[in-house]
Amino acid sequence: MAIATPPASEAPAPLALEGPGPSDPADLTGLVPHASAPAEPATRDGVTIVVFSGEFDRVQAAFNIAVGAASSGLPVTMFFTFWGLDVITRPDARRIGRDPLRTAFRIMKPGGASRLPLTRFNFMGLGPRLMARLMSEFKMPTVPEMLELARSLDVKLVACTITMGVMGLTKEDLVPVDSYAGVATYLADAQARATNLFI
Amino acid sequence: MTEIAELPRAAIVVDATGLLCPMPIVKLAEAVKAAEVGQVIEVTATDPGLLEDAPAWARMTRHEIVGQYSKGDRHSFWFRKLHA
Repeated sequence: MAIATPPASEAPAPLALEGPGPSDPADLTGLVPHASAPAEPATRDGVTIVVFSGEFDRVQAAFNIAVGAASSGLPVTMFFTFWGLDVITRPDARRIGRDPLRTAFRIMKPGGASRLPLTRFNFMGLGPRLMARLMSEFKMPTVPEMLELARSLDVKLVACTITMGVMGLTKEDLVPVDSYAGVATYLADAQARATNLFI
Repeated sequence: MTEIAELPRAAIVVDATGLLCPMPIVKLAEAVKAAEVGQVIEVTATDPGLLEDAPAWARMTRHEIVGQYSKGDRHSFWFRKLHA
């Protein structure tokens, strides 16, 4: 018997099983044929994420969503702005800005994906190290690994040019990204996607 | 009750045990991408999130789940690749 796909407007019909099914549908110990009816294609597929924050817990969440979405076949754009630029700053980026204020900025906020603080329990940098140890016990990818993973899954990485200027960052200070752009680029992608996040 | 023996043999077996979200889905997507259309891919994870994430992934990517099996904290799903 074929499994019929109910029209989207109606409540889904009870799962039609081929042959005798398990007595209790909630019983996950049995092997159940699963009707994963192909979903209606969404009119606007995909995700954009504005990565505004530079703390590694928030950034980790942003990458989780980006990598998960990209693995589900959705187009993903990550737009790095303000403190989020720390994530894509090269660890060996120069510390000298074009004026004393920007130099001070570069020294106080050197950036780099492996140097991000925590939003809570930072303890002058001890917190992130302890968190990294906990995460490695769970085989969780680190932020630099997530960045590579996102790149390999064709997540589009965009650096915000206006905040780069404010922070005294040049293209040479950043890891390779797909484009250097502004709000119109972000909005053009955001309009075409169903999920738009600001983290 | 469908027996495991009745399932088509998986062409690719993904061991995602010990991995946490989003890695089981990332590994699964990799395997499905590498498979031929019509082939069956088996994924096993210890992350209980897979119980919800696997069907959600199948809906988004429009591939088919042909079987599911849990024993203790190990959860397995069998996917059939429906399209390239």
